[in-house]
Amino acid sequence: MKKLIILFLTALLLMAGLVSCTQKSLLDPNAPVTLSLWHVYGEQADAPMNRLVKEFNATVGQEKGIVVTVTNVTSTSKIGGQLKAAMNGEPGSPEMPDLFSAHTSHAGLLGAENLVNWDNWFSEKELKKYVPEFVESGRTDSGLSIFPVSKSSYALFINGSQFDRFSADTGVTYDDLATWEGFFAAAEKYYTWSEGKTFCALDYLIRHVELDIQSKKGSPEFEENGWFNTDDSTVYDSFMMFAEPLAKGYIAVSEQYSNTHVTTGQMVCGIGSTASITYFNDTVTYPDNTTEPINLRVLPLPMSGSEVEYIPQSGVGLAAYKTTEQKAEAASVFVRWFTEGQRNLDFVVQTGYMPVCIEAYDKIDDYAYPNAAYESLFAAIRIMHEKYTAISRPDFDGFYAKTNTLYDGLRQMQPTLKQRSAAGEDGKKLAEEAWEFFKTIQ
Amino acid sequence: MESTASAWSLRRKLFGYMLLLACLLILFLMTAFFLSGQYNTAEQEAYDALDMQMEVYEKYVLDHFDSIAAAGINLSKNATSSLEGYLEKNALSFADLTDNAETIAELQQLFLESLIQQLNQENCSGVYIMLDTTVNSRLEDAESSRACLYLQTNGYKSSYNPISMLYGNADIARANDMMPHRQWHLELDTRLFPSYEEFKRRTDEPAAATYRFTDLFVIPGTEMRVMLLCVPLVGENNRFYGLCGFEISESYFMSYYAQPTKVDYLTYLFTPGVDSVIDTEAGFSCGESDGYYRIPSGTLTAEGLENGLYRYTGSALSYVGISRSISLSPNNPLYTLSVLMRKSDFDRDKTTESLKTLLIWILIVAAAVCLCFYFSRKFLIPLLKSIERIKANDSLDEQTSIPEIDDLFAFLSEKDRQHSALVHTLSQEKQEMLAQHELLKSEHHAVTSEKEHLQTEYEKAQLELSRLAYSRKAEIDPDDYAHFLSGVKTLTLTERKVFDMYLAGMTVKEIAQASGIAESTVYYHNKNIYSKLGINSLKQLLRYAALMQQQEKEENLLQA
Repeated sequence: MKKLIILFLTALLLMAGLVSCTQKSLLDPNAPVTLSLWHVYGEQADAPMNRLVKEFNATVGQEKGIVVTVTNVTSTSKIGGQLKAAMNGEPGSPEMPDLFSAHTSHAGLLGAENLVNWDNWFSEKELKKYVPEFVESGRTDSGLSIFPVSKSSYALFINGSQFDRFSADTGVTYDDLATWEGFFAAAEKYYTWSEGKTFCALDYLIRHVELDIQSKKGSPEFEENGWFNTDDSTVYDSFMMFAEPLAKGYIAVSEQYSNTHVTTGQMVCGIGSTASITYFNDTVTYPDNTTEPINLRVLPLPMSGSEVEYIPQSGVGLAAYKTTEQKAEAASVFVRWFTEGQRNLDFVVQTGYMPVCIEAYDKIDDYAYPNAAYESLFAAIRIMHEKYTAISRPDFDGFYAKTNTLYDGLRQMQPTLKQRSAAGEDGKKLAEEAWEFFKTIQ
Repeated sequence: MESTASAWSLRRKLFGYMLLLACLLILFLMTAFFLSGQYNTAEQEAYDALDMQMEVYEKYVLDHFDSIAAAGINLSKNATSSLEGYLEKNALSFADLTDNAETIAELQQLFLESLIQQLNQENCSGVYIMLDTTVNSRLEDAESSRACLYLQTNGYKSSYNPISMLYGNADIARANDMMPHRQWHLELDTRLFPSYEEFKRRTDEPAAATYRFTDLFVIPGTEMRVMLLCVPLVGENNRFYGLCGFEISESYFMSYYAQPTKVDYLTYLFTPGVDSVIDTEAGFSCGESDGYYRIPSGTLTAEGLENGLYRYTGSALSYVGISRSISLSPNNPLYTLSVLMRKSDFDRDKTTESLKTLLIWILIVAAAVCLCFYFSRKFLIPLLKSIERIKANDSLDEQTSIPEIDDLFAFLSEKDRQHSALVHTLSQEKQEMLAQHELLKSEHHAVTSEKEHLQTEYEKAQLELSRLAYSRKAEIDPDDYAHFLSGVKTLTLTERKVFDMYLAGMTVKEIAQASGIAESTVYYHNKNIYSKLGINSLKQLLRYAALMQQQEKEENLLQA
């Protein structure tokens, strides 16, 4: 009898051990868990992200009992404030989402301890499938708080139809746009050719200044107030490199995003995020309602001519607000599904981002792109990937606000400066005014 | 004495009666539940829940579309007024707007603030004013290309909900810090409005009579499915200026109409037409406000169930729910509103409800049985204990908690005392009787001995008598004896008595005393008796009489 009891207890212990070893899923297909999602992939509805969410809900989500609901589509610049407002329960703010696009500064804003640590849900082996730098860029003191989903850089988007006419008349070619020198020369020629029209709109002018400083002397110095050291002559030189053509009206800080200037025929090209390709219309509509195919051409960022060429690297990842273990598991299932090799590639191709999954890079060459514009974009991305070094933007608190102050000021100044330049004032002197404004930013 | 199993003991009887009472109460309870509607089937409960959701949903939709229509009519009036005011101020006719991009842009700027206000105020995802003119009439599709200012939000409930310009002058958008939509165009194609020509014809009717909602359609170049309110802009002399209205997009509908509900994964449909086959993709859908719903796909075929419910069978998912038709405007065909729950959930609820009901009744019945058992036992225990005490002859003077039992005990004690006293008396009497009995017994013994002695004496006498009779028989003349026997029969009653008393051994004196007659009378009777019997002395009479008796005895013995 004693032996029997010992045998029974041993079997019971073994079973308990087996059960504890096999981690039981908290998900139940018959009682789906809902994950609300805020993302930044296209402020206008029915973006590719939303389509993928629908696909997830209809496939893996249905099978495992997860439903992802997009409850807000916003922008990188706004999502931090909205998340903070939601977390604090401010009046008028929606519910805090379970999953959201974020970068590491947002983790600091919300408190990394309030976010799911993806290290707990992804094995080391799984994480090795992703580009290591991208994974590392999402780490905080609390672990992997931001899971990489996609990364973007900047590229030069050109209205091919219009540029071809300009090219035919002036002999300026796409190759001339490979360097900043050639770019600005083309811009000047376009200004003349088009009788005073601006050649290009830049979405993030300060980043180009910053990259130029980087290529000339290394990382730019920042003051305690979080702004550039304006006593540094390199900062001045780099800023003036862009300020002068801006003052002359050859280039401009975009009103919102450069794509709107291009698709409305206002400017022939724009420099913006690779992800802005989703905002380019197939046609250009001019003020007289005539339209023509845009024949969008995408080129790498012009080179500075230095030994090392830099491109900016940005892009948010996905963070999950810590609530229940079930939701954390559901979030990990979604993120794992979302960043799988082929799906990651499909997503980034549709949105103009760079993939984060190593496997996706292997397939990028053979990918069947939806149209020539996308093919052109990814050709540019390939070149930048090969010839440029990607660096992240400064990620300290308040830097965004300062850059916005700069852009707002320049937007206000640029029509007047252009007008005064056209009236014969010295472009360099006009650019100095812009520099003075640059220095006032605190 | 122990009760047998077949007999209905007091406890069983009480338990039976209590159980009967419990059953009756349960029955009354069930009847009351049924009559008061408290006891419903899963179908009825599902219908009630869905019907309540439908009431809210229907009211919500009708109120919303009504308010949107009212706002649209108001917008039409204001826009028409602004337009005419602008034309008058600038000494222009409406026809002058054609090919006049600058003037059209000015008008759009004029409308912009009002449209932004309307977009922020009204429950909609977009707002537009389309003028029946174009900036370039020389273009190929100029006839259907119309100047339009169309503003849109992304439809999500958010404090940050940027407005983008879907159609209109992009410079105005930029100047007002508004993003042109990624599928922005300068003008709108009127082929999106199948009823456009009808609007142009019906300018003599008020806007309230001609407004309508479009069917759902996809905005060209996008994947956005929207529905537009169209209200004509009609000026003086019934001049048609264009259309205005509001947009309700799929994402807006999904967000705006999401409702709180306790029904899991509830799905609301808004589909055109009234048919047993619902094309889910031709309409909008939404779910619960803070939960999930799976967007139905393809068609759902409705089939009636019990209690007003319908089963909606689809290729992927099937539902159970209810539908109602509504009218959006005088010029729109009916739309169908449906409130659906997943059939799998309904089936699960139904099974759960049945099991729950069964379990409840089982528990009630079990509880009733147990309580009946417990209380009958509880009630009878003091009684049974009392009976046991009575049986065990315990003292009945102790008080119990039951007054009736105490009274009974008091009564029984009194009875007991009376009984003891009676027993004592009877016992004494019995002792006396026993003593008397002993006395009588000894007397009886003496009498019996005497009797036996007398019997012996008697038998001796009889024996002597027989011997004597036998010895005297030979001495008696048979004729005399025969005369004697026949004479006995002739004796009178008095003579016989006297004769018998002589035979009994009595003397004349004793016979006279016994008969109450004089001795002389006895002698008189003697004389008659002697005469009739043919004898002449008492000695002879006794001799013949003894012989006669001896003979009779012998004859009797022989006969026996």
